[in-house]
Amino acid sequence: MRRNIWETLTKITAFLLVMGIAYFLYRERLHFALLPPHIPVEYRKLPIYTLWSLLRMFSAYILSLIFSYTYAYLAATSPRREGIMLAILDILQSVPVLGFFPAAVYFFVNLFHGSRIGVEMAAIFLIFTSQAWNITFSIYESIKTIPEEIKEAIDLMNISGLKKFFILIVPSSIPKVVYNSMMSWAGGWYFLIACEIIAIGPMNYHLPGLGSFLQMAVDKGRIDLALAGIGALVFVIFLMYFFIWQPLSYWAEKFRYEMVSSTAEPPLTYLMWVKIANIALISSLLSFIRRLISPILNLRLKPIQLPSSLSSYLRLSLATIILFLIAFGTSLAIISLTSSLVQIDKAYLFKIPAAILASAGRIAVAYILALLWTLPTAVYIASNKRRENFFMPLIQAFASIPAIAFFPFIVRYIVSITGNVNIATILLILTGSQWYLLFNLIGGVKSIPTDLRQLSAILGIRGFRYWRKILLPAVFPALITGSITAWGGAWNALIVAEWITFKGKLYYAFGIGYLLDYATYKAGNLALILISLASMSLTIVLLNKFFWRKMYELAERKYNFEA
Amino acid sequence: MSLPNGNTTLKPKLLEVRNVYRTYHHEDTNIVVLEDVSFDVFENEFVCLVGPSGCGKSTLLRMIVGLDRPTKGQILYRGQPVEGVNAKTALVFQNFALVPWLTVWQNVELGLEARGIDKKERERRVKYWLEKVGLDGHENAYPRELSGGMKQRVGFARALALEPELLCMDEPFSSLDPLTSQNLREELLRLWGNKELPILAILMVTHSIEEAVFMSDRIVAMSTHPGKIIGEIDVTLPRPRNQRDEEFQKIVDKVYAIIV
Repeated sequence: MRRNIWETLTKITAFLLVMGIAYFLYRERLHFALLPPHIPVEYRKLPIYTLWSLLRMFSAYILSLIFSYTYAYLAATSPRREGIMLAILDILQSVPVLGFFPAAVYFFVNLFHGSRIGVEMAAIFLIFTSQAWNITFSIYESIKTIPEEIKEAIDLMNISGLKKFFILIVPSSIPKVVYNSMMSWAGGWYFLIACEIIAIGPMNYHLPGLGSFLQMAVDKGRIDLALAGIGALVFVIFLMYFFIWQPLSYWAEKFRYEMVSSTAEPPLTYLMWVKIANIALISSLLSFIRRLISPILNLRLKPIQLPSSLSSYLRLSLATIILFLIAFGTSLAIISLTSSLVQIDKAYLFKIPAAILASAGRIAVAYILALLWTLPTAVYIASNKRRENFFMPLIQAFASIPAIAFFPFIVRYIVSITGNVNIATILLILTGSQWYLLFNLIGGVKSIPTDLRQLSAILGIRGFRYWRKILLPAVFPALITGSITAWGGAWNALIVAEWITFKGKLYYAFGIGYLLDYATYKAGNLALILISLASMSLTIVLLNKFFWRKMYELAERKYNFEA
Repeated sequence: MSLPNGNTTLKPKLLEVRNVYRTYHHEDTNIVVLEDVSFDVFENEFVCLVGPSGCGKSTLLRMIVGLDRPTKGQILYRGQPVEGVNAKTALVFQNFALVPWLTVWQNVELGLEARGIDKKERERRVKYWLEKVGLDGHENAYPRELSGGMKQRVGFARALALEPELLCMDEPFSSLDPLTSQNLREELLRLWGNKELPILAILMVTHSIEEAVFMSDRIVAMSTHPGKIIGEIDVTLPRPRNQRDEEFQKIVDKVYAIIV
């Protein structure tokens, strides 16, 4: 009971902290005029734009890895830090990051005195926020699930410090990190295109890249160019999948603790990399690098021996500073939220529940549509090894194509012709969230033990009875995990999907995403921004806590094979 | 029905495995799991397939119940080739294969439902077999609430409730602790010996030679890489058998000599 209260308190603190940061960021106004760079839309510029987009993605990904390992290590190695750090991560994961984008742009542009670097930083920061959290969670889980015996063996061999980090922590995390990196890149592409496409309110600033190229090509009615842009994007994504992710996934299997001999055949690209690494020049280069690194790994970082009074003094002051920052952040949030509530036009306030309901309705429709096609597809693909080998790479590659790249097309051909924003909104939400469901469901179907499949065959359990008694309960945990991620992605997509400007004309669907955009771009109403953002985040957090969490517990308790 | 020569002591043949091969394809090479395997199971027989792990005995068992097909050769049941799952057989799994979200009762009932057996008869059979394996009172428990021994009792009840002719068991005692497994072995033998089981024959796969000598009437010994039959030993010791008997040890040594 006391533990529960403590957990709720840390969650509330974490929520308020994030809101404090939002307030702090949104308070900023642009102090510098941005000169939009000239972005010519021509075929020959396409490679350069693709490179720019890739550069942003890689910078954000490296940032995510550094952040994730540091944060997860700190959280997993001290029970004192664990509670609050996990609570903050959980909130960060549920907050619709796209809502912070304009604020982040203001902040970074001011920081870099109006140069393009500021906008680049904001874009990288946005992509980072879409990539980092799940990687962090996966590393944290990996550290926590290292078998106790292996930890003891490492400690008995007197391995510690950096060496322990690279010999135990990093390898243990590799299978999950590779898998989650793939997911993160898929999400990252979505946000990359989004932040290149979205005009930040009155600024209308475009970063040179694939997203802006697409947007402008459609704006100019050059469908050929837009198709070429999508072609370039698909090409890059497929190249990355077949030359990086597929061989990496195969390699990552070696780091699992389960001693199951894998019968999967190595992909051709994996064999190619092995050949390349064995070329004399490259292999000597690799061993040279290894020799350079190893003394660093073997370095015994002796903790600096401070007099115990001084070290406890230092620790105390550090704790005080952190506590002060937390207190400052939360009180800032409380003050700003209450003052916003007082200032805000009451008409807006009453609109918020209706807006949340309207948005949730759109998400529900998209979710049901997604479920209707992903469940049978997952069963079809996962119940046969050969089918799985054929379809999985294709699906993974397709899932990485950000739906938002088709956004300009959807606007031009659906919204501007039918005048109905709802179809486009639901389509955007659907394309942004269906893959999470499909992947998790395929995993769920695959996780049905061979014994149980054979049993069903022997007992003659088929058709409807098989679905009801075996299949649906068996995939239930995966369905819940997939649904949580899918709904998370959907809330985020609302911010792009409910407020669409095309050729200077505004199309909107009333909802919480619309309110947030309206407050940001049209009204410049800080109180409304903050209240919309807070109520949206709060809805997500409460839905997670009181619905998805309960479902998840049910899945763990009842529909779990490890009994 | 008249038999040739009027030989009525000849036991009817239930299962006939005839020159069975099984190969798998992996990374451009063919791995031969089973090579030219032949043996028979007659009515009223308890047969054990014994061999080191990896000799393909579980694969063989799965082909006999109809989950898998031989690459070459034939498996005949009462003279008819086995096509698809053989409803006259039932399988007891090494790791129980219980459905975690169904209760003990529902787990046993599952297969009867699928065979379209009416509710009254289902209830009778489930009740009867749960009592026989000593699980009365645990009908509403979930598998996770049971000990390993009790889980396997559910496994037995589920297989027996189908009232098969040939009961197949894939190392049914190897994931239980020694005391529990010995208990279960003796109980199964008691039911089998008292003719309380509806089954006509038992075919059990095991890697424990002592277990095979303790339980079976005949041992079919297999070698590994590829799986081949290297000998058949009749066990004619009277039951109940005692592992410490000199005769018992002699047979164990004989099987060891063949396999190792």
